Amino acid sequence: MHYSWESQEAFDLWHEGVMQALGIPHANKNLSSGRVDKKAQWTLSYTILNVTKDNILYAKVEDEIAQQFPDNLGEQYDYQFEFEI
Amino acid sequence: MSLVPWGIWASSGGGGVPAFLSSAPLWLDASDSATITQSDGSVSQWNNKGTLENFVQDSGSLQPLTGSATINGLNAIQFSADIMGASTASDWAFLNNGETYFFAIVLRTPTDKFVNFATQSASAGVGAQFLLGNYYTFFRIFRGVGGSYINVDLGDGAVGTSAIIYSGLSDADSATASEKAQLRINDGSASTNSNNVSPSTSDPGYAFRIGLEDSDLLGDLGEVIIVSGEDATETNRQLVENYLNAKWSVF
Repeated sequence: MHYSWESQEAFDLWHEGVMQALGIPHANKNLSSGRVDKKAQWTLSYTILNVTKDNILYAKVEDEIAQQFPDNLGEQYDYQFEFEI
Repeated sequence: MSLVPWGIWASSGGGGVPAFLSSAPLWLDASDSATITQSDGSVSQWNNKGTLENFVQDSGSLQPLTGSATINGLNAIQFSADIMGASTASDWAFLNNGETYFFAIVLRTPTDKFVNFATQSASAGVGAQFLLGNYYTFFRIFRGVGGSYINVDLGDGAVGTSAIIYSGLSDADSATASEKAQLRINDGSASTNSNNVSPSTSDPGYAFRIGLEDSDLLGDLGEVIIVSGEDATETNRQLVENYLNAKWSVF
């Protein structure tokens, strides 16, 4: 699901709360060894704010995260990817 | 089928791991857990067993999942509007600068969705793209906005509960214009290139990525392979297809 915000600041207000709750940034574990691999890619953000041609600010938010963190969450945004043939 | 460490199978026509894969530019294998870095099943890094970069995603909501989907009992990476990418565009310029290569991908795509492998978007010009799924099955290399050097279209691809092996050969140097690319599904008959213009020699605008920014892609990936240079022959494409089919039991 995608959500839209009126401004970068409004997005940051929501996103910073989610980051803190999820402990981001954090290192990740190798699936085979189960050990943290500090050299591998860290998780640095929860989501990324994108801008449409119409200047709509939106980001992908997973449903469980949207349910857990409804405060300051933007409006649901019906993003439709349009592939150019 | 039990997991077997890669590299110890003999190269053969019977489905073993071809020896040249370890020197291929790209070899992503979801069944090899040692190549996957994750947190609670969200994949932040998928190591390339080939020679070029690893694929990464540092944003949690865009990380695909491991441990949630299998193909033939082997782990697959489940994409749900997620993106993984390599970071150095120049590494992947060979995909659109006229070099011969082939790709082979084990993929299961649900209804109405697709999976996009690209170095550039259609609107932005130079780049290469494999667009595989229900709506479209394309293999093409952009020359510039509004034109393409190679454009192979199989039409609507198959979707559903079964995995598919998509493979294609780009033979830019030795083939005739109409033969410069082929695209196959599950070793079916090949559709060939429909364009004949000069290839671009420019770098792609993006580094290579699975999924474009903003794209809504769904699918379970088992293995992604790109072989280039002298190893990129039709014989070797068939060897890779045999290896993938023996492992993932696709067709």
